[in-house]
Amino acid sequence: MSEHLEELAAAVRGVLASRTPEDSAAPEGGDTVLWEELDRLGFTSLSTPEELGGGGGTLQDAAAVVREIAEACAAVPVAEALLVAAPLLAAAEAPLPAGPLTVGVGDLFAEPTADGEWEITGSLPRVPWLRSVEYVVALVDTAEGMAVAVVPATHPRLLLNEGTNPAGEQRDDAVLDGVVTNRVYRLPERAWLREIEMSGAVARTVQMAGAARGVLKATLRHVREREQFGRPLLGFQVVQHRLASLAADVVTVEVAADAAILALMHADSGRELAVASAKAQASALARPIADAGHQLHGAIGFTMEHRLGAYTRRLWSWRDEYGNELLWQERAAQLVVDRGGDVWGLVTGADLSGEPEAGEHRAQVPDARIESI
Amino acid sequence: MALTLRAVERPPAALDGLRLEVREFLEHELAAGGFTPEADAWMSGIDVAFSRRLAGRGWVGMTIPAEYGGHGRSALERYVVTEELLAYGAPVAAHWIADRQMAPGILRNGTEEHKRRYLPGIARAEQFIAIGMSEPDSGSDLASVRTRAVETQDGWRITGTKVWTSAAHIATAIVVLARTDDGGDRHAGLSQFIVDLPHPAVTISPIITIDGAHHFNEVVFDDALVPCTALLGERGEGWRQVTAELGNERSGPERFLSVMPLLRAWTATGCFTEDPLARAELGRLVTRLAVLRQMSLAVAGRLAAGENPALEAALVKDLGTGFEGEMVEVIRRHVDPESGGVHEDLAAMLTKAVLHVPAFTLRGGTNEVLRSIVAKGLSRR
Repeated sequence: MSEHLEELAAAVRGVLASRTPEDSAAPEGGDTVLWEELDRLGFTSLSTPEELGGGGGTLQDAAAVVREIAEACAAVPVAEALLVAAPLLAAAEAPLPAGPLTVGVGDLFAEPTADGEWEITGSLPRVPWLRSVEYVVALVDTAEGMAVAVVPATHPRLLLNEGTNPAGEQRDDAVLDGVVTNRVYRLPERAWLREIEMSGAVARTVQMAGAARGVLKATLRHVREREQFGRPLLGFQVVQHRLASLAADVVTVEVAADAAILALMHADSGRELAVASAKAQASALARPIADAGHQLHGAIGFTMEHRLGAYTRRLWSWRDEYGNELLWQERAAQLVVDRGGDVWGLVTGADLSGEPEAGEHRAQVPDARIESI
Repeated sequence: MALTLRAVERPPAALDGLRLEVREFLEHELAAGGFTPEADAWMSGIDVAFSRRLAGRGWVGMTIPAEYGGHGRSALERYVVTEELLAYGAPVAAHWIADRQMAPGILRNGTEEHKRRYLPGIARAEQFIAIGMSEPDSGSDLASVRTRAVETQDGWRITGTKVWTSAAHIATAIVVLARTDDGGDRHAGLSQFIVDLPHPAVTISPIITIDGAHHFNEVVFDDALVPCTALLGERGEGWRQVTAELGNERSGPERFLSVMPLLRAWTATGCFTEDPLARAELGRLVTRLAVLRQMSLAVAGRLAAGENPALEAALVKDLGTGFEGEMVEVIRRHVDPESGGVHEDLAAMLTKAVLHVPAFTLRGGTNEVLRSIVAKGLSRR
């Protein structure tokens, strides 16, 4: 890791130090105190351009922060803010609102009101931490095309139905029945739903990399300390090999997350494959990673009082959010079809035919809508 | 816990030019009947004429400096070229070991005379160098080698047997790991020698693999006299020299692309457009492939930067070679050779791939040895 990213990660770790999970209990609610602290230090606006009031950092910077926050199992929608909302708002040249925010993906429609505002209707299923934030950033359809709305989460016409994911993180359904706001910003022409699905999938992949590293660290510590048959578990070759394959899977998710972030930063033809591959691999590896962690911890790791479950419950939740492995594997297969079966050209991002970069014609492939995040 | 790997940027667009140049050459070769694509051809596809044609384009010994007859290209450029050769299933086995491993070894440990004597020939695909490490009683436990080299007035006398030596029957030299000194640490007292072939006291005989092919050999040294100058590197430093080569040996794209020609042949049939099951498995393979390639590139980048990411290379090789076997299984299920409607070439490639799968997770260090390396590394840090 570059020195700059390492410093950034260390700075976030400093803020998170007291929040390393002690057990597997579900978060008691959104950690608004932590959000405020991160906000004061500029972390929540890190990836917003400077001219819009942010830190002007790259997505790579943002990912370094998100990974640390995920490894600490912190109850703040920073992945949503930095990796999904910030690029979307920036594309619309919209300022980042002050206060905790999250992202919703659903069906919203906005109509202009007589006094120059917008009235939004529609629904957003399974919005992360909705009841703990002030704003939800979402795509809205308008008569003139796609826009991004900054919806006030506490608006009286926003009906909220509380829910949680298997990790106990808030995932609330919202129905918007005429929410009025002036914060609707037009977006340039682009396949925005696809974009937001991709950035959401990358956000979850980066988070899974953090949680996966948490599993590896906890497991390594356990097999070193725990003694059976008169020696540490790590002294048994069968344990060593299980640990090695756990490490291999964890590193795979980390590299996949990295590669997807790099891909999002570029507009080349490898972008969609890198993102699809990253989420597909992270989701598919959640089980072997959690399996190995639990198996090596024994029954100790299966209890609420042990921290292992904090990581594994998140892996089991995040693998399904923003599309599971089947959805992203299907997207990757479609990319091969789009290239007429030229799988090697797809993987290397180069082909002999000299056809235009894939972006344009792929935008016409109908979107397989992700119903829940 | 310092086991980390960061993805690298995709190879710069400038390298696409080189990639497409290689691809065009290979398409042209295919059209002219220059070779038949095969799975695992880097191990078993021995075709001296093809190696020379490749050398004629400057794609053998790419990273050897120009002063030794090479092309002074970067490790990343070589990576791109080898990826294309693997993906097309080109017969590169004749020069593969010399190009991948022995040229860097000679550059690192050889004398000026070694460099002038061997490197230009490697780059012209005239010198093919085999590698003699494993023995009948010494497989994963390489430090137990019994081949012995005794210093005499005229040089060294080597006695012992090497096995699984790929392409030794066409090699012009072989690098041998032998015990020169006893006592102390079992990793000490080993040395490397470079022995010109043919040699009157060296007998090379074929070992036939389960597919009936001949690329492995047994190489018997019967009191073979070699000059003092045959010692490669330092006496007693053989273990260190060999393990330094393992980074090159374990990290290349051949550790996840051995059966890429089979995947390409399968996708070229277009079967998955009609078959949702095939399509689902294709998606699974492609997403895995793309991430493993990122991991391989990340290790290659570390090596190119002068690091020795031994742990990471072991980890990636474990994953990559396991994936190769899985790829063969998936394609076999969907091609279904018993169905009768399978194209002859695809069926032949598949049969060979199936018979080669066991080698993937054995060669270059068994996956069990690799996992032990990773676990030891993790527990040390």
